[in-house]
Amino acid sequence: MKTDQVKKINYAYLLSYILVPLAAAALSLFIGYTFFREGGTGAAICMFIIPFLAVLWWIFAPRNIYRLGKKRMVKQLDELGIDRRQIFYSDGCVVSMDIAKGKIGLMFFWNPFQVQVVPAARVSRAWTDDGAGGAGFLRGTSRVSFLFEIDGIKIRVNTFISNQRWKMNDEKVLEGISKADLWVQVLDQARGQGEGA
Amino acid sequence: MGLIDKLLRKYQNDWCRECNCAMEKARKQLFALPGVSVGHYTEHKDPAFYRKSLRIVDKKADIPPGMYACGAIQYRCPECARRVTVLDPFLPVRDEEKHEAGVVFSGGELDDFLWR
Repeated sequence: MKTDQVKKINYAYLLSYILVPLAAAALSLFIGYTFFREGGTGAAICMFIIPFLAVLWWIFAPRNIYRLGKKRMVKQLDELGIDRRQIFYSDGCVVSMDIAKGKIGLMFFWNPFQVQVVPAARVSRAWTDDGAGGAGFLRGTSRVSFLFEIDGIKIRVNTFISNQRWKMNDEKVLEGISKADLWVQVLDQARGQGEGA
Repeated sequence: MGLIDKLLRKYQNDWCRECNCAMEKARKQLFALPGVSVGHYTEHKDPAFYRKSLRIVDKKADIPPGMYACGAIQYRCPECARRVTVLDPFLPVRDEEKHEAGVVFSGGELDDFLWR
């Protein structure tokens, strides 16, 4: 549990996510090419199964590690006695807010092993980004998020994300904007509480 | 009245199906639903839920962000005096509104509620 500078990315984890399977696949291909040129089970394992496992790792591992991180975060917040009824699970991070104690709990997709608890008073500002773009009938958005700054570090939490552009009055977009506005209000409230404490 | 009109009227809340006439708006009120926030809306058919949860507000601006509101209109038939209360839960989002399915009480369940 950390309370110092917010760390959004654990570079050791990010690099090991990319490089370890890459190295394992390269090594197994090398072993397969060197020792199992004639084919057989060893060749199948080295030339196909291990590289295939590396691809599976790249596709599924971060999501599952993040999912386990969310569960661990909930447990850790409970152990610390932090009220986690206000919690938002986004694709890139989880934000939990204890308004009464003025504490923010954070866990990031690329730093899933660390739950960071920060005093809300350290939030310098919070705002909504509706991602609106385009003109006329093309006006729309593919991402709505709320953002806040802690010690100058900007944290973006998506409330709506899509690979298409949606109209600004679409139900999904409106819900995303509403969630973002709600969280900005909650952050401001907690910040006030934290400053008062 | 043509057949198509009759069919369409059948599905309109401000139409008395007994007397086959338009009902008049007897009361209109905006409420907040403080216990229901964005992403947590579920449809309720129980009038007791609305009696317990609805809080009168004057204008949409009084509803905090991310909280649901509910418009209520009570219609009264000028001929048979039958009353119908139509609730329209919605999420106010800046200048827009995200409407949920409306709830109609035509058995007098909320008749007195709007007149408190």
